[in-house]
Amino acid sequence: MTVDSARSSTEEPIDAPTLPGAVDTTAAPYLVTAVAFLVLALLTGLDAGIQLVLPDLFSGVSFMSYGRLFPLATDAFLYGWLTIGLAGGLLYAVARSGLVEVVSAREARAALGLMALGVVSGSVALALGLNQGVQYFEYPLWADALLLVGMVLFARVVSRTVRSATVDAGPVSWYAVAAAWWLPLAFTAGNIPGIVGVGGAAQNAFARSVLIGLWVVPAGLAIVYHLIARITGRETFPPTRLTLLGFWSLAFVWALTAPAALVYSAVPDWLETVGGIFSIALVIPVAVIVTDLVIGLRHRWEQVAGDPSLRFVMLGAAFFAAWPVANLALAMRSSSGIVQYTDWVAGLAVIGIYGGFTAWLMAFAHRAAPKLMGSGGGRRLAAFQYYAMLVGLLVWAGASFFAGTTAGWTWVATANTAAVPQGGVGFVNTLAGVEGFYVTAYVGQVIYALALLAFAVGMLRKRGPLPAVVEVEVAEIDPELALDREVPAGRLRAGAVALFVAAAVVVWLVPWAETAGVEPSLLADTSRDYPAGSPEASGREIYLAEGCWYCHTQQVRPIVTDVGLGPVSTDADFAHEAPVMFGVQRIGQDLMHVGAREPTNDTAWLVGYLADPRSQRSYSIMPAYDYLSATDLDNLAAYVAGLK
Amino acid sequence: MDDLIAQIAAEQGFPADMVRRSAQARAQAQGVTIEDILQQWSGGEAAPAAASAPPAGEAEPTAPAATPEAPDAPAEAAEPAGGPDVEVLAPRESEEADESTEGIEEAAPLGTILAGFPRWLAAAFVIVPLIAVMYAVLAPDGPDCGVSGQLALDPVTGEAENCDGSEYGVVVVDFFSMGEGLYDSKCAACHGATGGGGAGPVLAGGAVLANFPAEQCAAHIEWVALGSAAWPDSTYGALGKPVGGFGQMPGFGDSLTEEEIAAVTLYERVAFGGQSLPEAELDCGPAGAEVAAAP
Repeated sequence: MTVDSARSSTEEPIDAPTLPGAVDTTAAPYLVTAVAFLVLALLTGLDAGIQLVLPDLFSGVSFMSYGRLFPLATDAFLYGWLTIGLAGGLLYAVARSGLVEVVSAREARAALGLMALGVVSGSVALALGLNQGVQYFEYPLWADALLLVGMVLFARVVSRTVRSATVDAGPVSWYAVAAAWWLPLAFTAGNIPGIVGVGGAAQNAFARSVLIGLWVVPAGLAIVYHLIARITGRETFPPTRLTLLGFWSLAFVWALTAPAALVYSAVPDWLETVGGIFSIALVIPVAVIVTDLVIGLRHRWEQVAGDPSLRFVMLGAAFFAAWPVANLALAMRSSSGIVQYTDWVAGLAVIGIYGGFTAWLMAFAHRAAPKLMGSGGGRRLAAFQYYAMLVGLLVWAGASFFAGTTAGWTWVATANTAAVPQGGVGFVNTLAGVEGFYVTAYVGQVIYALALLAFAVGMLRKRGPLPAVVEVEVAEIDPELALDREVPAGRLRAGAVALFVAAAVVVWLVPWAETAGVEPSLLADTSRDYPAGSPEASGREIYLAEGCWYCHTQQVRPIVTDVGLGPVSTDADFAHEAPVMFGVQRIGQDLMHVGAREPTNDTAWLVGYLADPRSQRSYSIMPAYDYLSATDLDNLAAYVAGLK
Repeated sequence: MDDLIAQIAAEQGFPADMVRRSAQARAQAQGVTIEDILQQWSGGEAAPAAASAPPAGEAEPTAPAATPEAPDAPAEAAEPAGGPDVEVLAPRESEEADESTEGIEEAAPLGTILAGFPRWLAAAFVIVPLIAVMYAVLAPDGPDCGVSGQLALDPVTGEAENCDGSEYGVVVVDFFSMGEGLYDSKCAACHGATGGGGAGPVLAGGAVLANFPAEQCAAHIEWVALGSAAWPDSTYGALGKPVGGFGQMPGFGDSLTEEEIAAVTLYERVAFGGQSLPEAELDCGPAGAEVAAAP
């Protein structure tokens, strides 16, 4: 694919196709693939989301069941759209910033092929009910292997391209090299199977945290630094001491915020405190980076305000700035007791994965699609996408945060009262107050999906010549802030990997070692240890595969919220399990001791209930599992009823 | 040209083909010939140095110019690649560089790092870590019982419970004090503040227990609830006292709850009748027993 020479005269001189890098189109197939996965993720996401409002819509269709569609949509978004798209953006940014062509376009294409194949086969596996039972790392190991090889190939291409750059691309190359290597590391950390006990929960929290904080975020920032430089008429972003501080503090802090997801759970107390400390500290790198971006745009607002990609850069920066604040609510013990396991968790994903980080990728697409493929939406379509996306995100995230706090306060207020027990039938009363929020959140999700579908269509549409680029006056940066030294790429990569390993040791390996040898509790031995081949063991497999754990927790915390759910969980209770089923949210009741309550202690009743929940309880929003075989249903019921 | 490239490669310590490629890109970028670029690089003055010219990835900078200690070296002032309308790094006056260097040498380390930062951001560098450290120091192992929703654990069942070991969500009410308050406001006007009587009969000195003996608290409660007007018999109590014999007793069934009436009788029987509190609690039914209440 070559750039149309007739149009090139209207492009800004720094992107002139005579420069190496400016004609490089290695990123084009990445962008096309990412947009295709975006469509898949949006459509499956809508099908999953509506089931919280209309649970019987796809009843009886196995691959449309919420527990299968939800991870399919999430992972297609995270890997198919964000990861592949950001990877394309990185190749684009390092080539153009460094004035080189991508070193080995062939390897880059092979990396894309492997990653895309991984996402496709992983999605099919999830639809068929092959789920590893670990959030964000659900794909089966053979699909993971494809993705991992692709990621390593991709990281090598990025590293070599940066090494061969003819000019120092500053922050673009720092973030690109570090992110490209953090990605395979994070993916590997999340997929190592067989970790027994709560060490597995620490592993998952760590891997999820670094996948977002040390891959998605820095990859987005590499692209953003490149885009801001070009939008403001510079060749590369002039790095300041803020830029460097932002990079290293992000690299140091983010991974250590991981235990914020485990507050009050059955992990060591000191681990929760580490998560709290660094969730507070995360304010610093985010504030530094956002300030640095804004300084980079200083004095140029009027000239560049109409740029379609700049809008998305700033939308992304705003949601990026909001992320540590929303995360703090989960990390601090006092508020975590209210919002943990509620829709607050979903809201955080909305402002991050679906919000800010997607906006950065869209900024790249708007900038690059005309150059890479001669396509793009044009300014008016871009403006529609921007406003619709913003409205959709605010409604979706806002409704999620309100639903979260409402449910959390209700759980506290009704803990152990005779009228509304937390477990059993009473649980639904605690969610009755959030039903309206669920409808609102879904409306937001629909608006958001429409905006992004319009984006996807726009990406494919051929368009006319680019409008002439505004001449921008280049102002000097504050000499006091200027960075007066280079950052050698070798030291940068070594430092990035070292920080990753250090964080893995602190928030994953040490707590794992501390809890690995724990004497299994009586509860673990009597009701959570199953001989291979027993109905309970098979039932647990189905529990993982059908994604029951996206809506049901198995964990009682020592706080007011969980009074009435049974004995408080300790690490010894999970000593036989891999992976542990701590869960994600409580859209349904906690199941830690569900087999000790009426009528869920009765296997026969459970079989009927699982097959057709609304025949027993009209208000239930659980999917009907009538598509499972009679044996599978019996096994699943045996597992659930055995959770005493 | 190859000689020049080889010479530069030797001087700078980079592979020859990298120098060539670099020079080509630079020449294209600046619109000059490769020879010009190579001449410039080999010229000695305005040396490309590690800072700008072939950066060559992981290679350590060979020229000392790249270190912050010597910011006035040529590399700092050299304008790296880019078209005429493009700046990669803001060129710095050597004077400015000197000044800032002096300032850095004199200032404290923190001042060095924060120089030029927006003031509010510099403040955040102090405040945010301070809060983080406080969080760690104040409650490294989580909050104390009763704080942030934290509860104690029952050592036997493992269930969460109140910090004093009682069951969570269950509140023990002090019915004696409750009854005392009610007696003062509702009964003392006729029966006297200390049960000495007045418009109503004497309760003190065991009198109340004489008519409603131990284990007949139920009758006592019924009498208070109904009063003389609604009482079905002509006499009341163990002594068979005539209804209305000492004036009219109002019924409190409508104005007080069952629990409150039980509390008043409990108070009267302990304070005036001399019954022991545990005995009266057992006697008067719900009074003194645990009653579920929302937190």
